[in-house]
Formats: sequence, structure tokens, C-alpha cells
Amino acid sequence: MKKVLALGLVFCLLFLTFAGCKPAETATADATAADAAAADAAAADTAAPEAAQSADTGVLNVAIAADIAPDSVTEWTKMFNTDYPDVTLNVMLEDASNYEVTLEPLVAAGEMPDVVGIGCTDWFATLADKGYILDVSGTPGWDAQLDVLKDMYTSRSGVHFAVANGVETELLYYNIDQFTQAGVTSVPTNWQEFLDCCQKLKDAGFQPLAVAGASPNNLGHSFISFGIAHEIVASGFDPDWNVKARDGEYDFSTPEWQAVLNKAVVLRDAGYFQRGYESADLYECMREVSVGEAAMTIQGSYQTGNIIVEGGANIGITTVPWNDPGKEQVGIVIAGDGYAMGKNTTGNVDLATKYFNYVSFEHADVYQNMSGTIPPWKDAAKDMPNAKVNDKLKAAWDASNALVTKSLEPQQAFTAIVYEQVKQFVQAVILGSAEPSQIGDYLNPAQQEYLATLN
Amino acid sequence: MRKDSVRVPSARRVCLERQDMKKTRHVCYYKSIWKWNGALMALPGIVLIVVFIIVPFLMNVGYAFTDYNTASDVPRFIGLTNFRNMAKDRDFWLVCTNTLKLILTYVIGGNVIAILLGVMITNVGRKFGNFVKTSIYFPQLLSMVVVGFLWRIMFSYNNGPINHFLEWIGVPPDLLPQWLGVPALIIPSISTALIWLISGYYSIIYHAGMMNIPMSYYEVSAIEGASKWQEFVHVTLPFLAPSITINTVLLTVESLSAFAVPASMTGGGGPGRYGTTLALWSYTTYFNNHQYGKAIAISVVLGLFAVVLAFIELKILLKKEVGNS
Repeated sequence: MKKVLALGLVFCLLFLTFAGCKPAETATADATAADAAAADAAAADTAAPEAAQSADTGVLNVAIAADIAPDSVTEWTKMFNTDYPDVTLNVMLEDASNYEVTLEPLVAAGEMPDVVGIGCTDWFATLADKGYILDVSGTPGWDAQLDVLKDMYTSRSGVHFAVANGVETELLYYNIDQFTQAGVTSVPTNWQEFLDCCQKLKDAGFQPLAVAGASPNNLGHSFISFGIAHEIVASGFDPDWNVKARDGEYDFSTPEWQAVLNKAVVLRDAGYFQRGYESADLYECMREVSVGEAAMTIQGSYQTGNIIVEGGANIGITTVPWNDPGKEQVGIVIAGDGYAMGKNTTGNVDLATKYFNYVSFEHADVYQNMSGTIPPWKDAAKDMPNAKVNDKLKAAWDASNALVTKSLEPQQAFTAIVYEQVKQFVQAVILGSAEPSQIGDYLNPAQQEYLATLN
Repeated sequence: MRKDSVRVPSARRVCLERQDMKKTRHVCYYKSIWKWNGALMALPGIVLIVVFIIVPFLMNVGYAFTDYNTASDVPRFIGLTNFRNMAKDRDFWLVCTNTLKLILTYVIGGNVIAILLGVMITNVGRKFGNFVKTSIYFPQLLSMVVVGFLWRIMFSYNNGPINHFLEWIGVPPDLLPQWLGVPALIIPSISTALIWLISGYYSIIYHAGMMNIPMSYYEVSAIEGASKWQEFVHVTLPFLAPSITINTVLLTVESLSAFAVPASMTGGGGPGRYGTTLALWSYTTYFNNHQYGKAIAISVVLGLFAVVLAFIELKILLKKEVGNS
């Protein structure tokens, strides 16, 4: 009897070991079913009301970011569960600073969620081209968002793969009281005025500029954004550099590229960065400005809520004066993170589309109200009448938006392999272990490696 | 052939031999059954190890020779290109040096602190023993990411308790160390956090080793007039050699795979690559660069590194153990 039990146990364990394995044919069959469901969904617009009603039951797997406004995910889930009581919603929280950590294993396992939060990066465009992310054109969110966002969320092969949750830019946050005490009577409008302003602040005993030296992610889109905007784009040297660098060989060792971080080095050498900037992370950097330990910082507009805090310093916002005297400023355009539809795993594209529209358009105000970001719509007054945007931020955004020349944020312009080196390079320059002229040494080999990955 | 040379067995003898043969067959039958049963019992475990460890490991090694990445429809065999790219990378030697520095500081520091804590636990009275053991072991219960952030705050230049303390004892602000900003201090800082995290666990191993040392040796050393230090060096340490061996190998492997604490302490291995270890480099190559083949090649090198180091350590340390020398 014992032997029989032992043998039974052995076979049970062996069965359990292989129970999770799924033959490739079955997986393909699932994909085919999903494709069929997608075809059904395409016809769903004209289907009978009964058919639409039947789609409101089922299971949805979604992965949504909760970084800037984590409560928005909870709120959406509550609302969706109320509106669609027969739908089982499985929500997975993503880390907005690194979507890939959540999504890469799911992509590799063929388990892409029905709706996903994504960043506007080359990797997601590649996923769209490979069919892991579906085309969302025709959805209300896609139609309503700004044209510039549409461009940024269109892949190489023309897949419209996401609706942004906001539109952003890079701005200069400054301490109004410290400016007054240092005798800075007006906000700087060009590079020379900016240097004078820094010197006055330093002379008055303030730390002029807070820099997140220990945060490569942050360094990857502050100084270098404006370096590229002015030296490469506005100068007319190569406004389409990002398209060229994405599609073929590109040389980053030209004098123009070697100059993109020169101004950052000027600031560092003049001692305008805060003490301990080398080991300050992003939140330390923003805290220093928000409590008045440093007078200025250059950050994405999405950080406004972290810098202008209740009971904190009196903070003003303006466009970044990286332009030489006599030249125009350049605005940086950043697509906010977005919502996309993953290649369906539950087979219910119609229901997935409902959730997608729910968070990306119909109830996008839940996120906007909590995060205070600039709405991504062409007609925000009509599509999001209850938007809550800080007045100072609104004014600075309007000023930035009015600038004639625009440039992309590096994270959204470089390919992933090259961008990783960009971050390393900026950090090395800020710390003094590399010179701006070495940019080609960092980026060219990465560009070669990137080209080798293209099949 | 002579007739009398043939022994004709008696009926009783035949019967006994038959019984013996039957017994032997019976025993052999059971031996064979148990042998197969034992193998069968081990089969699920073996299958699990093969399916979830051996096969993925071999697949992993295979992928190191391909251009596997998100963009590749089918991974192509590219020979040693990933390994060449890794070796050509401007940060390769820096990352290897960081890893070696971490091994040295972590293994030596971890062993020393764990032995000292082990001695403390062994000598502390029964009344406080459990409290001390629990307190020392407590960091082991924390998430590695939490530990990383905790020590990031501890080492913070402007707001860290360590620099506040240094300021309080009179160190001028300009001389306060940038624990996580100056290249020379980053790896020792990471090592400190890791040692804080694991020393409780390893001190328990040393404590167990110390409890097994016969009291007679201490009695003899006391009669001979040995000081506490001499007692420690000539009695305790030699008997702790097996614990030192296992702890050294475990600490080495742990330092090679250290990832979460360095990542959370340094914001992903910075500044530059001064806080990046091989394990962290593999991670960033995978998740940030999306170069899966290259990331796997780095992890293969890391694995080889671990095997070679563990082998050398075992060779040296086993010789030093009491009874093996």
C-alpha cells in the first residue's frame, strides 16, 4: 500500500511539473483566437446591441503605471468595477521609471496584458512593429490627442500604438524669494543672463542649481536635451538627426555633437551646482529646491507637483535660457507616458478596447486631476473641461509651446542602446571623469551595436 | 573420473541450499526493488532540477552566442560576438574591478564582522542571548531594496545620519565624505550595507561552530595561562576553519550575484559605472539596452567567475582545516 501511495505521489509530482507547459501549437491557436477576436471586434461597431452587451463579461488583464499618481489606478479600478460588474479586472502595477522590468518577461512569455501603460521610447515602437502592441487609431483618445503626440506614438512601420496621458516639456524652476534677495530682478532669458543670475545667487550665499548627479535617468534628459536642442537642432546642423541615427550609421563625434555638454561643464566648473550633487538623486534634488536649499533646478514639467509643495518655498517656473544672446530659446517636447493595447491574451479585444478608452480618454481626468499634468488633447477645454493645471505651469507651458523651434527629449529620440550610453556619458561629464568632446567615444560604439541588432 | 569424487548431496543439504538461495533471491529482490523505488522517489526532484535549472542554464549559455533581442524575430547564432562586445566595452574592466573590490571588501569584512558577532553571541549570557541573536539577525528579514534605500539615506551627503554625526563631532562641511559620489568610496559603502545585511546570518553559522568546540580545549588553555586573544587565535579560530570555508565560499558567490542593494543604493550603478557590478551590468544590459544575448554573455562570464573563485577558495581553505593540513 505504501508503495502504491509513494508511486502515486511521484506521478502526481511529475504531472504537476509539466502541467504548466503548453505546446507551441496551443499557443499559436490562442494567438489565432485572439486575432479572430480582433476581427470580430472590428465588426463590433455595427453589431447588434445584444452582442455588445455580451462583450461586457469576461476577464481583463491590465498593467498600469502608478508612479506619479498611484491613487488613479485604484480609482479607475473601483469605477470600472462599478460600471462593468461582470468583468473580472486583473490589475498589475507598473513602475513608470522602468516599464520594461514589468513588461519584458511578459512579452518573452507571450503574456502581454490587454491594456498596458508604456513610455514613449524606441523599445515600445519596436514592440508595436513586431505586433505585441496593437494599433489604436480610431479610438477617441487617439483622435483627440495633439498631432505632435501622434507623431511620437507612431512606429517606424506606421503603427499608432498609444494615447499619451499628458504632454510635457523641460522647464526651469526657481526660488522667487532667493532671486529677490540676490538682486535678480527678472528671470533670465538667455545663457549670459542665466550665468549672471547663478553668480548673483552664489554671491548671496545661495546654492544656485540643484542637479541630480546620481540619477542617470534624470541627467539623461536635462542638460543634454538643451545641448542637442541648440547645438544640433536650432543651429540647423542636423534637425533630423534622430531619424538618421535610428535608421542607419550616424557619427556622434562631430564638433557640433562635441559641444552639446559644454555649457553644463561651464556651470559645474563655476561651482553653481549644489554641494554633494554627485550623490544627489532626483528626489533629493527636487526636495532641495522645494524647501529652499537650492535656488533652481531644470526638470520635466511632470515634476511640478513634487517641486511646488504646500508650505514649501515660493517657486516660479519659466522656460530654460540655454540660448546664446541674440538667439531664440528652443522648446523641448515630451510625450507623457501612454496607454496601449497589448496583443490580446484573454481573447476579448472589444472589452479590452472599452477599458483602454476608459482610462485613456473617457476618465483620463482621474489621472490628470491627481498628477496636474498638461492634458494631451487638441481641444482640452472640450475633452477635459475639469482639468486641474497649476497656473504657473500653464503659463510656462504656453510660453514653451509658443517657441518656434522644438526638439525632442533624448529618451524619446535615441534608441535604447545608445540612450543608455547617453546617460553614462552625461553623468561622467558632470562628475568630471569625461570631457564633452568624448561623446563619439561613448555613442558611436553603441550605435554600431544597435545597428547589429537590426535583423 | 572417480566415482567417489562426485559428492552426492544429501536431501537435507539440498533443502538447506535451496532455502539459502531463496533467501538470497528474496534479499536481492528487495534490494533491487528499493533501489528502483529510491530512484523513482528522487525522480520528481531530479526532473525539477533538470527542467528548471539545468535546461534553462544550458539554454542560457546557448543564447549567449546569439543576437537575441526584442527586435530579432529568431535569435541568430553570432559566435563569440557578444563576448567580444562585452570585452571591448569601455566599462568592462571598470565593472570587473568593481566586482573584485566588492568581493574583497565583502568577504573579508563579512567574515571578520560575523566572527566577532559570533563570539559576542556565544559569550553573552543566556538572559540576553536570544535578544542579541534576534537583533543581529533582523536585517536579514528586510527586503534587499529596502536595505539599499535605507543605506542610501544613511550615506546621503546632505541629510545622511553618518555625515550629520561627522559634522557633529567637528568635521568641516567641505571635508564631509561623499560616500556615494566619490568613486573610491562607492564600493566600500555598498559593501558596508551588504555586510550589515548578512552578518547576522553568518554569525549564527560561526556561533554554531563555536558551540561545537570542546570545552576541554579552553580549560587546558586557561590552565596554561593563555590570554583571551591567544585562546581565540589558537583554539577558537582553528576549530572554526570549516565554518570559515563555507562562509567564505557563500560570501563570494553572494557578492558576485549582489544586485538589488547596489542598484537601489546607487540609482542603477552610478555615478558613471563606479557602482556597477557584473550582476548589475547584466541586468541593465538586459532591461535598459534590451541586448539579451549580451546580457546573458555577461551572466555566463559571471557564472564562470563564481565557479573558478569558489574552486580556488575551497582548494586553499580545505587544506587549512583541522585534520586536513
